[in-house]
Amino acid sequence: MDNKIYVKVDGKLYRTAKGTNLLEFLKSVNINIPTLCYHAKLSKTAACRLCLVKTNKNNIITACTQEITENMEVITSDEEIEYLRRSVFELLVDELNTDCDTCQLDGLCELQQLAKQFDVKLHKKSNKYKQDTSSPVLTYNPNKCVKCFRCIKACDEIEGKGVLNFAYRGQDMYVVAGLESWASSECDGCGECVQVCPTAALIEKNLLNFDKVIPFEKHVTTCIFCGVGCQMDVWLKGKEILKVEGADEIPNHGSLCVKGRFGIDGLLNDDRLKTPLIKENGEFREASWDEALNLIAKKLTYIKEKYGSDAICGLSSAKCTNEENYIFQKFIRAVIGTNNIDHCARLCHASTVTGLIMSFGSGAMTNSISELEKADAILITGSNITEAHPVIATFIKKAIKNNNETTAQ
Amino acid sequence: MEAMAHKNLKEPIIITTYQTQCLEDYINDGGYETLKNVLTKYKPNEIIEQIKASELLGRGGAAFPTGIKWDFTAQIKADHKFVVCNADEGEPGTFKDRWILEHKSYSLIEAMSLCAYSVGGDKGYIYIRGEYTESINSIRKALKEAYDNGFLGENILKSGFSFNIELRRGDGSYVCGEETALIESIEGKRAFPRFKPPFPGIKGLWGYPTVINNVETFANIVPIIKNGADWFKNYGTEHSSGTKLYSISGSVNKSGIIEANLGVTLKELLDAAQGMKNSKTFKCALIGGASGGFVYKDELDLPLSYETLKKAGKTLGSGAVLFLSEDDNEESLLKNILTFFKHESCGKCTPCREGYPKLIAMYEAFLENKIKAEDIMKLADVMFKTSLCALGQSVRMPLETYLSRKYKKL
Repeated sequence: MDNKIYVKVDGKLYRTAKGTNLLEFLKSVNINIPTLCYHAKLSKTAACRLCLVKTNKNNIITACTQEITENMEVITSDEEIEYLRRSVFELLVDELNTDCDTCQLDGLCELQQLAKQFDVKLHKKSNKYKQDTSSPVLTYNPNKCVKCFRCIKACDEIEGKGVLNFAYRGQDMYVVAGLESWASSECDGCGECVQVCPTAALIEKNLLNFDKVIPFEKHVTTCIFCGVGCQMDVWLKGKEILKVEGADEIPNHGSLCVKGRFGIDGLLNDDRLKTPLIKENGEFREASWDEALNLIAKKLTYIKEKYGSDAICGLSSAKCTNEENYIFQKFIRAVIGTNNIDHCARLCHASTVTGLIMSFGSGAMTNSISELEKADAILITGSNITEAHPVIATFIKKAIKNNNETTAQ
Repeated sequence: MEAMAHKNLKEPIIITTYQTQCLEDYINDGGYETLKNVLTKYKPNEIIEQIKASELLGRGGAAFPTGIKWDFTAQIKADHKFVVCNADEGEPGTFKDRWILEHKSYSLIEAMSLCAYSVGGDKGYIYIRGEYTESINSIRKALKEAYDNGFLGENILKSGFSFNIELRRGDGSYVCGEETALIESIEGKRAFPRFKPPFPGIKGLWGYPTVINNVETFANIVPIIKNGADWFKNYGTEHSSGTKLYSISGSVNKSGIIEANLGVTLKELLDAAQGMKNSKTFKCALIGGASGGFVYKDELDLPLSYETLKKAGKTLGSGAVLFLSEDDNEESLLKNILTFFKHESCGKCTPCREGYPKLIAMYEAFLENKIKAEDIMKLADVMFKTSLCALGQSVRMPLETYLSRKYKKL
């Protein structure tokens, strides 16, 4: 059935599905409407009051909360709309310490972009509110907070944690974790709030080591902390990591956990193993890859010739990618010549593989991770998902929240 | 607090001679007969038609037709429907709901049950402001008695209809009187108003269709169903049927609640309040509470009904009437109002949160002749047009009605 209807925007006729969100629709046809509190992954808030438009149904409304209905006519810009949007924006920035010159996110801030659009000058002001620097991974600066609700909603709706909310009311309102501070709250540091923050109110602590984020390079990679395979954008300045963001890809769709997002300090740590080490006379010494690999090859060849292939076995790790594991078993079978190859998951996973094959016909996942969100019942045995695979846990929490029938055990 | 019917009102609807808080007396006076009758003889839509025909307008302040509101909810199919009584009476100068809660609690519960029967509701909430200790006690008592005697709960009066009511207490926030914020509060969340649409009638408490009415609105329901819509329409004006409980306060000799026909004039109310205190002269009245408007001497004969005040650019709102004498000062009253709104702004939307502190600063500058009245009105106008809920929108009226009077240019 064709449920498409006509909508007239600034005199131009479009066709779209009935019930489409007006702001999303306007964005899709490249009509730029200012907004701060809207976020595609979150429920609508209507707090910033910037996406004002006029329709023939009600006079002035927020586009983010409006569904497109039959015979709707929309005006996205006229003198009054521009005046009202600008007035609201001026009210908003008036109380903020918009010190862009010393801000790490200068050039990347949504508030700054809007200021340019409205031609409103941003000034440095004194800090009225105390910052919360108690979290080991992030910092909250209420003086830069536009009270858009995005962090609060991300913590609740995406992560299912509900750690954040506003304290006090009116102009005294600011975001608080738990009852008092990030450190004393139940925040596990996943940083979803940082990723959705439109300004620098919530930023990664690591960023404070840098003056400016721009210029930077962005690389997509796979997180290696667990088997979920989250896609992440690593922001680099030279060799140093600025920050890590969840990439909007399968399977994590933008989310990360504290390990993936903030477990970056090991990369350039002095304690990290940077070259192979060879033990001689009870002491390790640094060696080159060629020297180390040659030594291993020599010893393996010696053992194989003297005791036969079956004297050797290989044990690989779940921390390696599928590709690495494949190559390793190929090496053990084809080069060493033995079937003595095993994997650490034998211990923990064998029973479930057998069970899954018997029940579903495959020992691996028979659904995508995001499909967990739609499950009616979830049976969990022997796993603390929230700790071991935190991003998968968010999908299970969503299933419980969205569907009262879901039970997880 | 004294409550009385205006002398021009021969047979009051709400402030009846029977003001008992004893179930036995209520029943002897025909209490719960209406519910019994309706449950056995009437179809839900017949009740809605009767409320529609009475043209009863919501008494909380917004004056939305009650029958139409009930009809919206009745027409939706849903697993649950809720009936909520908004007893978070927080509008400054308004205290009529308190009187009803303390003196007509049985009628209120009967009305909510009638509403639930009409719209298909299965659960009700009475949300009372926490400071109303007496009201909470009287409702608690009335609820217990209703349950004990089979007027609430499962299979009410053996009719097969079941309905439960729970009491919820507010905790001192003005914005909780805003219906969607009240709903959030019942859900156990912080009371931030929701955007509308969707309206509560379609998607309210926990996402289910919810009828939410003011205490005084519910107080009219049993009389209407008992006596019929035509009887009710004998009261009031053509477009504002029924009576209204006016909360009278300020520099008058006798403050209190007066039930009068909608359309009663300010002068008649002043007379009922036995005139201005200390024989001072009347200067003006603030009608509709903090979010209402000022009415001056030349408007003393203005009929106080929804349509006449709307026409005059004002609002009847909750029916609060605050009288000011020649010795009273609107300027400081306005400052008080602004400070109140700033204090009560929930902080969700930008114009209200950031607007009020700025408005106060501007108002102070204005009193020192540093800026013009127009400058204040510009900001109030932005707040009116862009705020999420009435808390940010409503300040324009008291400001405009005062400033336009004093500074004619506006």
